[in-house]
Amino acid sequence: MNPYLHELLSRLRSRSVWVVLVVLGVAVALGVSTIEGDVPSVQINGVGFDYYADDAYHFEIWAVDVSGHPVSGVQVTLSIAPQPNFTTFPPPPPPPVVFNTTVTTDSSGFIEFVVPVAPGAYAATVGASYAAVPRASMTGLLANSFYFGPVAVGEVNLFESPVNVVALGDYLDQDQLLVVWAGANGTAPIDDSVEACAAVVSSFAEPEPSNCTGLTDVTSEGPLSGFLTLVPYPSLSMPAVGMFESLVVFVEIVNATGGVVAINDLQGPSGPIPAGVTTPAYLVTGPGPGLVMDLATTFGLFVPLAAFALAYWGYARPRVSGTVDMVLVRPVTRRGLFLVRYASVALLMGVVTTAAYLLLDLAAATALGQPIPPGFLLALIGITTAGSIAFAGLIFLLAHLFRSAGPIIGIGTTLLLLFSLFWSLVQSLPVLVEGPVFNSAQLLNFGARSQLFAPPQLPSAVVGILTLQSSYLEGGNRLVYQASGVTPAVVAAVAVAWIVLPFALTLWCVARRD
Amino acid sequence: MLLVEGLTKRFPGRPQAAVDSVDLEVRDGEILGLVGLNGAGKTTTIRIAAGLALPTSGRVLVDGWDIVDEKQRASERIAWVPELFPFDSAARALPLMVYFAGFHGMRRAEARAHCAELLVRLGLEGEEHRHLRDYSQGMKKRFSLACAMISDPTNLLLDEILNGLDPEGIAFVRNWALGSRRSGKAVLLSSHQLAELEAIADRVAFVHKGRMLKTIDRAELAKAGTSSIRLVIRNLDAAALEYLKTVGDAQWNETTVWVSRPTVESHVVNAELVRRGYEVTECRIESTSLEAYFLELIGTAR
Repeated sequence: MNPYLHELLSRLRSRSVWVVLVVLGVAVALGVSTIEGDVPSVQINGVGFDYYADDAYHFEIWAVDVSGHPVSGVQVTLSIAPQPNFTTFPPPPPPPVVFNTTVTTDSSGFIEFVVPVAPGAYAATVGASYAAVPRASMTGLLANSFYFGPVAVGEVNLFESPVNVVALGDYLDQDQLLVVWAGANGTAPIDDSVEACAAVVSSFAEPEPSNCTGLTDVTSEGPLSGFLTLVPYPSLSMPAVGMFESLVVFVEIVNATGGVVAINDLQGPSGPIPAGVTTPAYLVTGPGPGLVMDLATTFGLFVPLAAFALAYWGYARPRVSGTVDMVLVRPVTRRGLFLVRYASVALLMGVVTTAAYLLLDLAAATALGQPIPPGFLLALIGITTAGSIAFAGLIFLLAHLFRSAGPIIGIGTTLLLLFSLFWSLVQSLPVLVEGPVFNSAQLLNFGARSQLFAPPQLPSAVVGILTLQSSYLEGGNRLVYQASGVTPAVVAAVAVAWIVLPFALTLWCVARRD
Repeated sequence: MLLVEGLTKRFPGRPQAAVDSVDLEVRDGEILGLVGLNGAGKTTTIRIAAGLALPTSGRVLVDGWDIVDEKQRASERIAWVPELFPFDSAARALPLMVYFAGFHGMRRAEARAHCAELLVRLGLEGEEHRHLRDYSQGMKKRFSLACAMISDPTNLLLDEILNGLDPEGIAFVRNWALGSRRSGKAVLLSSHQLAELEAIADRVAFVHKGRMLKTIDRAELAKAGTSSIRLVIRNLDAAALEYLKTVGDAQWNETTVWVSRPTVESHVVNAELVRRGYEVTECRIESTSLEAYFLELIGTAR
């Protein structure tokens, strides 16, 4: 048998393969728990209001997902009982339920309950279930008990602001805003119009903008089409936001005479952020990072760890301990041995990573009834393998830069931890440097670009690039990456550079020989 | 045959060459002793000859194959046994040897049988599956020799392999080296144990500060001085002394006898005494002659 083929087969049969399997086994176990953990992050929000008319409470709900898309098929149960009287002791038994009805949302996510009771104070409970996704969690109105207070005839008891806008972050990963507007007695004021505006303003701007007036980047407006109106999101390119600038977005309801009747500020404070406040307040917080992103993050740590173990045990340790010399006196060249051992690491990482992701895909399909989309899966497998090979390449290189195991293990471990677990610290460096005035848009921009400097971050970057945050399987924010110039081609090029550079340097060291 | 021509090795940052224009020839069926102080360049020369380091200039031919340009062919014909134990101590003996054997084109079953036989020949029978960390110093040396013999190479590079061995271990290695010579192998043996070299080397090469000072053969070695055989015989008597006086100038003190200017090799004396029923507990060569010759050489070189 050819000595190099013999070496390759020996590597694939070596004990370090078991180490890799154990490490990735732990990663798969964590991945499965991630899948379980992500189930509750399937969020369906409810927005709505109630009013009293025609001797009945009218209770209206829109079920929308975290991106503001209407969700049909949500079974919502409204249960109403008179407010208990707590003025006596012992308290009387709870009053009987006077209304208990379950209704399923229609294609627009809409439900209307009509509760024929006399005006008064009631305790109401909203329960919901969503058959399409087992164990989906409900937030907002769909998962609350609340006080269903007396509302005067002709008035509206709004649970939230008249203008409810469902949107995420500075750079919305959707094309349109969902605006929920309620007029008196549940009538949609169709004479009014909705206007969304966005502008980049200096953090030190005075006076601080508080509505669209005076802002030049008004890009979206149109008539209210009913309680629920979708309007295009005012787009701004990411590079337009400077270091000491903020992106502000306002949604205004303007009546027929031009008066502004309601304003909702998506951005929160647009001026200098007070000391101690680092995160602008958003109207709607997003879901968890998403299943695919969670997997990318978990594997971003464990797959390079496995590659580290393989590269260390298969190359670095034999080299620094001198045991590789007993192989090098055999009929092999030093370069050939390096290439074969490098190839064995790459091959093993590719095979084992693929197997691990396929297992997780199976788990996701079983637990959630929805497998990871094939495109994501392929991209994840590819970039995770590439990232791990790149990291292994660093260990190969370290083996030539140091003559003892200590620095290799120390530097390798430090890099691995920094690149994976502690990379968020690196990503928050601008805040540490600039203080709380550093705006979040800039931070997102920096965070996206910083991922290119750490191989274990590449899977997360790919997920971020490929996904919109419109499905519970996803966790990306495509517009952030687009605005930051972090495109698939850039990530691919960086991954190749991460692989090629340490490889070429190591090959150069091998050619020099000791 | 091993041919070293104009070998020079310079390490970065060091003004003086570690090996400077060294020429060396180790013929088939010959043991060439390599003598020098620490740092003289012996190990560097041997590592280059083994294909583990690159020469700055010059070349090493192994049976005519260049160890740099024709590494694979040259490495088939050469084996290296270093002073320190260069194996993963967590490994087990036989599987590791089978792994090495695979580089020489042996199939797994064939390699297992061959390596097991080698281990038996080297006195490691029953120790095939032990971890190497559990081996004694002598066992480790035997294992190193076994690994060197896997491909039955025609050239052997033995670098200070006598260091740290007890008398029994030294005798084993000595006999192994002599056996290799008998089977026609070219053996390059570096050692600080000059008496041992004097006993078994056909020629001795002296290196100092990277340069080759001189190479002498056995005839010149004999002229350089005399060695003596030191024997400890538990049941020493007059008859034994009578025999020993026939093979050299014998002097004794209680059970210890020194035979200076011996006319036969020490193992012949030892064998004859044992044949006559004497209990020889120690038999070694003592010599200050090679040492004196060497010191005089490097004194001149200074």
